[in-house]
Amino acid sequence: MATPVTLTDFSKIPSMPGVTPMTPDQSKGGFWSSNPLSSFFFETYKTVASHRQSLALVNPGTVENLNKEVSRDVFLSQYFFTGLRADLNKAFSLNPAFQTSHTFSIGSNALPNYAFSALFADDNLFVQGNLDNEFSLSGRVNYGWNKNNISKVNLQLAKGQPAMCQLEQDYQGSDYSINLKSLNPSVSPEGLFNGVAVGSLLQSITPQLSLGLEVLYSRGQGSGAADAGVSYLTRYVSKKQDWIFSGQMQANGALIASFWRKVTPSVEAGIETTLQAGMVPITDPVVGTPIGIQPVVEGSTTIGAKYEYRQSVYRGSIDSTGKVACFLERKILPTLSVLFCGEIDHFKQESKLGCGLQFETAGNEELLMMQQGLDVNGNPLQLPPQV
Amino acid sequence: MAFLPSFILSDESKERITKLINITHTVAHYGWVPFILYLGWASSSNKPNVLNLLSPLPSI
Amino acid sequence: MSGIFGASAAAANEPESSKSVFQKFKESPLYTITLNGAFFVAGVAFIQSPLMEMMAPQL
Repeated sequence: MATPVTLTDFSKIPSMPGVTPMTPDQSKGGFWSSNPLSSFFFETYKTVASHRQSLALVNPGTVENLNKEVSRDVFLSQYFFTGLRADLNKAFSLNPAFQTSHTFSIGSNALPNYAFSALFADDNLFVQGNLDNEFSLSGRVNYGWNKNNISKVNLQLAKGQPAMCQLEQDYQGSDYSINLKSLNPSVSPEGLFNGVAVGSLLQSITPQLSLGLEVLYSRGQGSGAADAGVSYLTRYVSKKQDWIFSGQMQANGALIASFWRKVTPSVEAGIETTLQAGMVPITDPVVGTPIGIQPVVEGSTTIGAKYEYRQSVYRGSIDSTGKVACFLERKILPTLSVLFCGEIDHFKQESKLGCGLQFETAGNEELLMMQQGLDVNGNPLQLPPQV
Repeated sequence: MAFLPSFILSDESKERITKLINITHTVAHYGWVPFILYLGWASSSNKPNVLNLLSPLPSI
Repeated sequence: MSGIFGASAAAANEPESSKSVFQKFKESPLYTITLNGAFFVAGVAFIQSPLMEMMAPQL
């Protein structure tokens, strides 16, 4: 059956089926394809691969972006701030992108009084750094090895606080995405892993539906026991791609369902419901000692819409805990935008307010002219610049 | 490093490694933003000077 | 939301036995689940309905 291979003839050395290119011998029925055991795996692999091809699946996107359309595009919680702020962005070049930014803020708990940030991005490298007035640094590097593989490093250093370092690897296959990340990985004196490790897989089942799994393992610096959990994810994109449903069942007992729809090219709407299950101890009303635990479920639903125009973006949302919020962003000049955001909590009788200005300046003449809507020679541009 | 037996790493070299980690920490802390500025400066066409890079005002 | 209502309901009805079936349901976790589930379904129906399209300005 199998003719002995003389090692002097390199073209006859069998290679792994389906992994490395086959030798001429293999393709016309050499040792590996005539051997019943290996040919079974080989044939099965080929059948599965061709069947997968015939399904016309697309990449489902990353796990991180599972409900991006709702929670990051439509909802304003990512953009909300309080107090007054001013951003002075200065662009030095567009390709590769290089920009510095100065942010001043007063009256906010979250934003530092002053922060300087710099950003550099070209086709496969993205580097960003942010340093505030208390010298705490947050940095980020993304590097794309090819169009499927991206490595990411997130770094957070602050004075008097432990450093945070997150390493992440993203792989996007033809119909699946794999993401591996680790927060503060280290090896303990006993030789055990310390830190947080998360692995996730999102696989397209049909061109519309994708299912995913996320596994989390964490272990603190102390002698505490390790913690592990599995989350389940799903995402459904409609045929016309005008609506998306996504659901997550997280290991910590949270259930998140979200729905997004593109109503018109400039209007998007989204809704998200979160149910968080937990256990609270019941205390004896007289003695005050715990007598048991009972399950509690906290839930909230937020509905929001985003209106996007050429000069302005409006976002608004209402949630079931009585909060009404809006965020308005308007470009009043090519180089100046105003931001306004407000939130009223009707049940707690609280409100928050934020106002901001964003200036765009340029580091060279060409960009300065472009921001004014002119080309290098001072003639008007055909299209308004999207700087 | 503590999980390694002491005959592989002596106390001095352990100390040296800790020192090295601390130095790396400081370099990353204060060198990160200057490093990005250098990357951008090297790739931009008009090579702005340091003052231009750091000032928020438009520079031509 | 249910927490606030639940607390006031408990205060109003100090003796446990006088709680109606509905009030018991209101304090159980099932209430939150049902309420938010209903909110979600209603919200999706609203977003998918022509009402949402009417809220989009014609430019």
